[in-house]
Amino acid sequence: MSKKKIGIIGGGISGTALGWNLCLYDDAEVTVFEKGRIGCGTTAKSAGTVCLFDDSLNNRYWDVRLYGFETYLKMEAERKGSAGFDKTGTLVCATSEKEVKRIKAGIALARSAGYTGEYITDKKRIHDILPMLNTDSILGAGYTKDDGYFDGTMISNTFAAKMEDLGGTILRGAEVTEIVIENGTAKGVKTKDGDTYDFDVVVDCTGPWSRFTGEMAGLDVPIWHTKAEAFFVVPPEKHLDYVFPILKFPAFYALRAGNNIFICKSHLSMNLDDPMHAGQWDPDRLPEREGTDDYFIDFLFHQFEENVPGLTDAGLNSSWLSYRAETRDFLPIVGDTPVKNYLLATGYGGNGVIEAPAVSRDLAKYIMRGESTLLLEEWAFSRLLKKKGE
Amino acid sequence: MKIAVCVKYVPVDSKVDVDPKTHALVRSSGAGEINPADRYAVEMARQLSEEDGVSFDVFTMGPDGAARALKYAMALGAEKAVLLSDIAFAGSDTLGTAAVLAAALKKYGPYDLVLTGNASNDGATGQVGPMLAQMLGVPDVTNAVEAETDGKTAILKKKDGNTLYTLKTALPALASVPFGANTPELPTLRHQVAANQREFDTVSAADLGLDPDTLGQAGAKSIVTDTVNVTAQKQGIELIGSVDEKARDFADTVDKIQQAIGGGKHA
Ligand SMILES: Cc1cc2nc3c(=O)[nH]c(=O)nc-3n(C[C@H](O)[C@H](O)[C@H](O)COP(=O)(O)OP(=O)(O)OC[C@H]3O[C@@H](n4cnc5c(N)ncnc54)[C@H](O)[C@@H]3O)c2cc1C
Repeated sequence: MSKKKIGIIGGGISGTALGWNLCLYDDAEVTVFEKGRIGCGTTAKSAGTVCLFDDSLNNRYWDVRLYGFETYLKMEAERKGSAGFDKTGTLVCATSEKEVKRIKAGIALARSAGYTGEYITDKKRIHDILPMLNTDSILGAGYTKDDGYFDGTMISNTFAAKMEDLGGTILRGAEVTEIVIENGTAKGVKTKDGDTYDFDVVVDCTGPWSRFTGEMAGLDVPIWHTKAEAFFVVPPEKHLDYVFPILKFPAFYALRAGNNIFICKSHLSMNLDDPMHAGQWDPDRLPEREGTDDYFIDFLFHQFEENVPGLTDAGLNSSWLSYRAETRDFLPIVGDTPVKNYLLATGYGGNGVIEAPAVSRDLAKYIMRGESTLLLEEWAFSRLLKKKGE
Repeated sequence: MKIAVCVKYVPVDSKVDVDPKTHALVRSSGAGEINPADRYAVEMARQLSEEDGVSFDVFTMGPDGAARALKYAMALGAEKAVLLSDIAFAGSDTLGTAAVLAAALKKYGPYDLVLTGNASNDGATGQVGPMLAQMLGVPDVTNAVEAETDGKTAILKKKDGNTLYTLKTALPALASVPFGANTPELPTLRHQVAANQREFDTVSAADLGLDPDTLGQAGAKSIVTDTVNVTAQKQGIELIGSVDEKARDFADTVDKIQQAIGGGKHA
């Protein structure tokens, strides 16, 4: 049986999820090139929340969210710790009637899939769930105990191990420096070591690096970098005697991370035209930690003053900066590009952990069988090309 | 009683290359943080300043970004913050750095107690504190893990290996504080945000009356002949699975290490 040879650039959650899904086809021969370690890029700095209902991904893509969540639950059930699940539940606070409607729809969807979820207006109950909240500033809150956050790096490594079990190859420390293009068609890649690899299909899964790898294929990949500035704070109580749920507000979110609370401005509140929020930078220059701007800490403080006064006197322990690869419509770019056989699975922005499983499942089927899906059609590169020309 | 804390803003990055010509360190990002040991010096000052009539100021020599180290100290209660910034300071060796700090402390002082970190985690010479004491003409105690003062004298606990010496010195004096000396308080969000808005002084060589030719690379008395990039050999092994699986994997790992170093299998 002749096999289809696929080269994947990038071993983050995008590349490894795709690699594993491709290896489920016995006529696929898959190689992942990762210039660092598996899951060391954006994925390593992720919050990893996969909430049953919140505003991070439109309810239109509910199935994507559910598929991601259940993929990781199954991973975790197969081997405890392999998805790094921390089941804290989520409290989604509504600050407008529009939000209330969206949250209630999300709850209905979660319940239809067999999970618990309720919309709470009793302020005392909300306060019992998260005592440090100012319940006066919200209309109500959606709450579920069933979800939580995962560890993107663990997941990537688990996908990588599962992929290798199925005969896939992972080249760690292998930087792709050239995409071989002949007559407008991708034919393979070259690495920093000078090795050349031939492929039938090359998939670029390099997240915020895809601007640079795209250039290697002669493409202008329309992604922007939004600053993901995460701060780790220690609540004044030091050790909380309750489970701090994932806390979602439209402009920010918070979740527990050991004895710290991870706080971050939400990805949908970023403005691609504001140079403090977004730009096009070099992810290789990102520091391992720190590198954050005063702007973000000021922003979060003012949000907390209004909404979570219990965190205003939290101690600032550490921080990190990362770049989300974001498109103009905040949805990923998946599938074909104007360069034949050079595909993209990038631009996951602030939702890569949620979206990678469903996207990878569909993209693998497309690569191996040529069958597209509604999701791939909606998240195709061509939608952005059209917008560019308008 | 006035205390001065001298802090350094150091790069956070471990991705460092060495310029083959100048032997200077080339970092992939410009991000930095207050030198780890200096946090303990700030904490010592903060604790002493809890006494009535005791206050502390903070000084750093570095580029504009070094103001972050000042803001950290201000969030923890530093009254005045001074950024010593001048192109003439760039490339200073330890002697040059101490000279700039000494001039600044004289301008803003007098100070009863000067605190520094024991060593910076980039240069790691540990020389600046003692040199500064020499230039100020005050006694100095390195590795000071605890301090008490009555405003005229200071009782300092100096750690030397496993021995703790209790030393008494007249003030003014200088003490350098090692990493781990105490438990630094974290700046709260509220205090950090307030500190981010606060003004600090920016001071140049001319403001200090220093001759630029005696400073920076031009005035350096030491020459860097080589810099070696040492890569850590330690590698973490992540154990995943249930507690039993983790325990089994851990035991296997210990066995492998023991075999590799020629030891027997553990019981
Ligand atoms: C602070 C923060 C919080 C987040 N919170 C959430 C959340 O709660 N839920 C959620 O779903 N998502 C969240 N995200 C988003 C999510 O983490 C990302 O969308 C996702 O990790 C992107 O994965 P990726 O594989 O596309 O990119 P990356 O993880 O960046 O992987 C790209 C990989 O490509 C490699 N690479 C680059 N160039 C080359 C080359 N030339 N050759 C070989 N390899 C190369 C890099 O080393 C890297 O490992 C968050 C992100 C951040 C930063």
